[in-house]
Amino acid sequence: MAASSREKFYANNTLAVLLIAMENNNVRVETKNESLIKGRLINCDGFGNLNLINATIINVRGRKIKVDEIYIKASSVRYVQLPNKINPMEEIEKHISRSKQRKPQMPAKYKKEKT
Amino acid sequence: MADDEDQQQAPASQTVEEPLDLIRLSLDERVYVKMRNERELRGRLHAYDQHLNMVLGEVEETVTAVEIDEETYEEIYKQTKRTIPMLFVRGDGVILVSPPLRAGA
Repeated sequence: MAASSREKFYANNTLAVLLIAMENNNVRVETKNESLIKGRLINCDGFGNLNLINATIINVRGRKIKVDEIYIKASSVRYVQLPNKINPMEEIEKHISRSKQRKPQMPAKYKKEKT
Repeated sequence: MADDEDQQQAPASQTVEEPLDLIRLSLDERVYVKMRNERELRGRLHAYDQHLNMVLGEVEETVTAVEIDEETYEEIYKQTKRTIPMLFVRGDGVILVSPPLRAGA
């Protein structure tokens, strides 16, 4: 996914962080044009664009279409139904601590003292 | 809710300075959300951000539709409700957020 500085800002400072934390979960996305897409969330970027796999699309007329992969633009999303039992704040904090672990931390002695 | 690091004043996150702070007062409470396309949500506000993206738990969605009777031309209001355990709402559909309306208030 895009890694512009704007996207990184959104990925860390908006609720997109929760959608990113929900990667690999099964979600149901309701779009603004009244379609329902059920599938496994593989990827989400800072803007909220979604990549789902093994998806079933149910359009407004009730027609079901199965696709291996679908890319959903963030602007077309109305709702994302998340798995029932998750606690949003816990998932966000888990995701942030996982990201901090991957990023190399500045050794304490080189950290500037906050004035 | 994703806050910037603003650690200079310790209780800064507790003063109400801008309209978004009013929503912060409703965190973990039940809220009423009016959305575009004649939709309303009532649920527990778990998280929100500056775009008014929100995460609501145990939310009931009400969709109001108007049918016009062909013969009498009267307007029939139909409401469709459903409940969703945990819902992420995209902010561009949100019109307003409020504590839930109490009967008689």
